[in-house]
Amino acid sequence: MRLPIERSSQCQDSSGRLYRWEISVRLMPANELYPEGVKAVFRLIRFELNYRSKDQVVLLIDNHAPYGFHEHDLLPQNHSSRRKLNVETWQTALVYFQERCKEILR
Amino acid sequence: MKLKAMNVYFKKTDDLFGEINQSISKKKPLVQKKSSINFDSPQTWRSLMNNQKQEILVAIARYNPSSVYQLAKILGRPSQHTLKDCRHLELVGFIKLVDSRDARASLRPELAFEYDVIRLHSPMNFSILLSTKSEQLIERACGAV
Repeated sequence: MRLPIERSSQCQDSSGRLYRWEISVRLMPANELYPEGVKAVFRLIRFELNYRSKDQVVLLIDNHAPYGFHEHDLLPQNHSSRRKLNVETWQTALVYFQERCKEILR
Repeated sequence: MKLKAMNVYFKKTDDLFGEINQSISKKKPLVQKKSSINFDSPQTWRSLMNNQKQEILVAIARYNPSSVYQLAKILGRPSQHTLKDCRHLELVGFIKLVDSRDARASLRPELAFEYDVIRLHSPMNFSILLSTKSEQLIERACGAV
């Protein structure tokens, strides 16, 4: 597989809330955080147009050590909670991300 | 006189996901150019890129403000509101907020690159003029008719 894979877009759900999704898979020198030399980050961010509110990351999947592929499963309230995903490759994690995005944006 | 464009494309999320999956199956890399930004529909564009955000882009292109504070002054808007709009424009990819490293740690808003127009690739296919250069070009073209 040749990398990188990078795409992003702005979109909205059926009730008109605005989002941005980002897909990034990049090669990098293998290190402690990314022992396989691949950094994958999949994010879905909800824009808050109200000036008093902050934008919210509502879906975040990445693969840094020591967790491997994991989902931050209590977003947007809790950023430090993680659930390990039962996937081996970034391709499978990406399919999972796309399905979750479709659920949220439905 | 050549104008540089930021291109806005309208593609449904399913179609973009399809393009990504196709690249993966063909084992081809997929890089998003800094001169292209995707929206799923013109409606999303209109909801996110209201007049105030477009005015911010015009002001940055024409006046090169040294800080968000100065930008807010130019626009006659509260700094906090201007900063929030700038954060959205940065997230989407229209601008950069550069840490100016002065005593006030202010952020300098800059276009993501020096583009003159935003070209919307919709059925309407129109452009938003940002820079003085783009305005002059249109004025010259109108004068020639």
